Formats: sequence, structure tokens, C-alpha cells
Amino acid sequence: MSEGINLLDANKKNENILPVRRIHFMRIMAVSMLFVVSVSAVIVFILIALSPLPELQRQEQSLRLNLSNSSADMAKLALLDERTSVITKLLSERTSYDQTIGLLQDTLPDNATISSLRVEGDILVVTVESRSLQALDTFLNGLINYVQEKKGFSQVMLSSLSSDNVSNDYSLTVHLILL
Amino acid sequence: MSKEVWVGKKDSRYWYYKYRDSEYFSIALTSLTVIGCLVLVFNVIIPQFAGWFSIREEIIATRARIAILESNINFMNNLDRNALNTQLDTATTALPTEKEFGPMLDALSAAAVSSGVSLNDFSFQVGNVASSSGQAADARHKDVAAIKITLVATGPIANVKKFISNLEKSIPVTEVVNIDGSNQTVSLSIQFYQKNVPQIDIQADKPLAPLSAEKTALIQDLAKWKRSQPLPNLDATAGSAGAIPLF
Repeated sequence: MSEGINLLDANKKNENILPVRRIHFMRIMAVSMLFVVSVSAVIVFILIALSPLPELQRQEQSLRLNLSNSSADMAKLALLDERTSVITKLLSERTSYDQTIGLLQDTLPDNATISSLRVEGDILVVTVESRSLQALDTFLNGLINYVQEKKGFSQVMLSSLSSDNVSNDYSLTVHLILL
Repeated sequence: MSKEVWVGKKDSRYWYYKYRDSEYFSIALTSLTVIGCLVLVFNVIIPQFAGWFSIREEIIATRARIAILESNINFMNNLDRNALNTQLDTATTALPTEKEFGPMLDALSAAAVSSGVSLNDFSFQVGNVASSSGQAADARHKDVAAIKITLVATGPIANVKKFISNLEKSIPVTEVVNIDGSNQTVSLSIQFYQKNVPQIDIQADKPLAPLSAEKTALIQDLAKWKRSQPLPNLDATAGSAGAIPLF
């Protein structure tokens, strides 16, 4: 009996579902997360609040308004650019028939004349008359040289060679394909 | 009475005091805090940061636009408006925005005078004058309307060649498309071009640039052709050659 009466159950186990150290760690983690979230929220708020975007947008609007005064000149500039582009294209795709005729004249002997000339697309038909066959031969050889040199024509085809007994003229008709 | 007291003890305060010092309370509070933090991170903080990054990108884009706008304003302030008007006048004379027959006849007449050929019959093939549809369009140039004039030029071949050469160096821009002649009489088909004013979309935040060197040189050539073109004092209108003392 000297031991007295123990009202507490000595055999009762202290059954904690988690150790105290782990609970302590969880508390620190929760507080840290709370801190990080709070700091992040404040930082984001400051960053957004101090953003220069509204001021930049106002500046942009002001500059646009300023530039709108020159919109007529800007339209003129755009129209000029468009016109020159189209004109450049037109000129670059234009066939210079005067140069083609010039090539024919260059190879035409003095005693021969062009009696007919027809150009349609890239086909040129020319008729040359002369009293001399030699002159027609010179003309034809000149054209062949052009084709060989790839100058103005890509193909030459003799269509007809005839003579007029009344006028004693020889007539040569040639088909040429332009380059 | 004791029953009422007992029931009252089972409210939230009862549970709070009952579990305040237990590990359950600590675990629940910690878990709630962590869950709350995670919810805030994923639903608020991360979207806010993403928003801030898009604001930053918008700032960069706005600064770039402002730089372009300032450059454009500077460009427009330094632009010689008289030169621009003259250049545009030359370009629209070379490629008119409407069918103008006067300048065409002037060009033909001037080329004929300076080359020594005489022009006889001529005819226009203009398609629908009122609208852009049905025009004598050239298949090579989709957006450009072509006005075809067929005329008969009389003169030696050298003069006809000079006439063609003069036409090619005159404005409005022309192109000889067909030649058919014999015995000093040559039938020529000549195309003049016309293009309507396009829809111009002015975008202030696109950088403005002066005309390229090639285009400036072209305008100078066109202006030269315009100046060198002796304009006959003709009161010409479109129609039959018989009615107009052209050449």
C-alpha cells in the first residue's frame, strides 16, 4: 500500500498519430509558404502597378494623332509607290519593236528594201525586195548571225523566195521568232 | 437543464477547445494553410505573373511601335511635299487612274510630229468606259486596263521606227503590240494602260520609306519624257479620226 494509488493508467500508451518533429516541420513549411505567397502577391502587385504601359499607350495615341495630320501625304506616298511598281513592271515586260526593226535595218543592204513587215506577239514576218540575189543572201546571213549570237531573234525560217519577171525584183519572205 | 448544457457544449467552441491542444488541430490547421497557399499560387499568383509577362511583352511591342511612329513623323516632317506632288503627278500621268484620251492623243501626235510620219485612220478599243469590267485587258497585267488604239502610219520604215521609239519614250506608258505594214503604210496597234486608284490601307505603325533608287530613277526618266514631249495645241477628244484634225 506504500506505493499509494496511481489514478493514471501507467500502461496507457502515448499514441500520437504523427511525431512532434514532423508536425513542427509541417508548421514551418506552412508558414514559409504563407510568407512566399504573400511576398509574391506584393511583388506582382507592385510590378503591375508600376508598369509603364498606360503611359506608353497614351504616348502612342498622341503620336498616332500627330501622324494622322500627314495621312494625305502618306496616301500620296503609297500611291506613288504603287504606280511606280506597276510602271516598272509594264516597262520591263514591254517589247521594244523599234530595236527589232533597227536590227533588220542594220543587216539590210543598201540595194534591198523592206516591202512588208508584220509583227504579232513574238513572230515577225518580213518581206525584203531587191534586184540582187546577193543582197538578199547578205540579209539572210545577217539574220542567221543574229540567231547564232542570240541577238533579237531565236529562230529564222525562210518562207518564200520569189521573183517578179516584170520588175526583175526578187522577193524574200522570212519568219522570225523574237527572243 | 443538464441536457441543454450538454447540447450547447457540442458547438464549434466545444470542438475547438476539445481539440485545441491535440495534434489533430495542428495537422488540420497546417494542411488548410498549405492547401490555401497552393490554391492562391495556382489561381492567383501564377496567372498574375503570366499577366505581368504579357504586359512586359506589350511594353516591348508598344515601345517598338512608338519608335516607328516617331520615325514616321520625322520622315513626314522632312518630306518635300512639292517634290512628292510633282512625282505623283508624273506617275499618274504615266499611268492614269482614269481613261484619259487627251494625253493619249497628245502622245501619239507628238511622236508622229517628231518622227515625221503622218497618221491616218485610227480607232480606239476601250471596252466599257464606265466600269472596270469588260476592258481590253492585257492577259499579262491582271490589274491594269489596256486601251488599244489601232492607227495607220505613213512614212518610211526608219520614220516608223522612230515613231515607235518616240512613243516608247513618252507618257502615258504605251506598248506597240502589233505591226502590219507594207509600202510605207504601217498599221500599228498601240496599247495605253490605265489603273484605278487602289484601296490604300495606311498603317501608321509600319515604317515609311522613301522611294527606292530604281523608282526615283524611273520617275526622273518619266519626267524627262514628259518634258521632252512637245504637246501640240490640240483640242482633241476621243472619237473618229475623220472628225478631228489630229495629224
